[in-house]
Amino acid sequence: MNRDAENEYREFVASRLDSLRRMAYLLCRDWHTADDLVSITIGKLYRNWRRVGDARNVDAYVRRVLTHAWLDERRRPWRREHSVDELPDQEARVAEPTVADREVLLHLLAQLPPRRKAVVVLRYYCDLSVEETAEILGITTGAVKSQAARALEALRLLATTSTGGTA
Amino acid sequence: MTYKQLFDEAIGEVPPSSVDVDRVVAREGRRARGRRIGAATLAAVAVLAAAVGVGTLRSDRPAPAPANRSAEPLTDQQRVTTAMLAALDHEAPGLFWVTAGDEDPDTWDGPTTTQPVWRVREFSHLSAAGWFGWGVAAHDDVRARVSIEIVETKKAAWTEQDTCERTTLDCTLTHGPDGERIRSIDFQVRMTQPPDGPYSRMIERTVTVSRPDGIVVTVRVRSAEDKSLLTPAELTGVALAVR
Repeated sequence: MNRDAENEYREFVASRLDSLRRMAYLLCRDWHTADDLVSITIGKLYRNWRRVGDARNVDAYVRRVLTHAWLDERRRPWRREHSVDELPDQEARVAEPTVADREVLLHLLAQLPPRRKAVVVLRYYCDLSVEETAEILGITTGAVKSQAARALEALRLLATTSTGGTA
Repeated sequence: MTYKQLFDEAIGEVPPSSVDVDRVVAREGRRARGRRIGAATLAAVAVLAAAVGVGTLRSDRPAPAPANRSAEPLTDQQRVTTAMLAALDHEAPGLFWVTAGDEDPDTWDGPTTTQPVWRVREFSHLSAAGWFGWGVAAHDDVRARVSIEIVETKKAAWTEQDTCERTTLDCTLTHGPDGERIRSIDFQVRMTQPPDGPYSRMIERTVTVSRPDGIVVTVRVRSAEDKSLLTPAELTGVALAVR
């Protein structure tokens, strides 16, 4: 990589580092693992910087790499956590968001199976379309919709009750 | 409030980043230089390894025709070497190799190179046959002897590796995605060099993967420092990846 390209790469990474770390944290809920995943992601980005193309493609690329890096980590049996499909029952919410609410949201997210969690993060945190989410995960748009549907109600309920409005 | 805002609020305060962009750039730069140096040779080897398959130990498995007819057919030793190094590079990229490192830890402080210095030999005993590869690797300030052993046991059953009964610093038993039995074990060893010389204390980390097809892959790092060159997860990844 020549100097100009490396400067562009460094600028891109600096501008996206915070959002990538947050996305990784939502997936794995551990800051050390999140930083490892981001390091893996930007390493692969460095290798493929020339052919990834413009910034929009780069954003899609890093989200794809990060998501699959995490899914790959999850597949490793010695790191596997056991998720359950069922979401916990919602308790009565208070009007203002609290630390407890934040913990509940992260707890809800943590309980989702890996791919469903990835769908939620890509759709509702990264604000990607159904098509973009499907493309990153290599699944159909119908699968994205169905994966998201079961998690959506719980997240919407929390968003609504914690702010008094609709997300 | 959008979902993004809700999630950001849930994340809360973000701790300082431990992502070291300079280190990533330096590591990837070294990898790129290493790839350029041996690109032609490695590409041919990789293509052939993928085409021929890695059933080196299974003599009853027919070998497909090589995809690249212009290249020389790989020997079994070359295929095993490629498979071992590919697994190491995938799970632990960026390793350096001590050019003149041997079994004696006193030789491990020598100069390093990005090109793997990896010896592979075939062996056959009464109880087992297979391949053994090893080298002395370095990463950051840690240097260690790394070895990979691929064994096809000749006994009907061999369950010694399924226990954690030996005196160890750490030991875990898990299972792989395809039914492999995995044991990760850390223990302290004392070595003499020469045989009647003074003891030197070493830390040895070993991961043994016993596959349902009877192949046992053991990946081991031995270092003279408390800090190990590779994590149990990395060793397990290597052991599962070697085919």
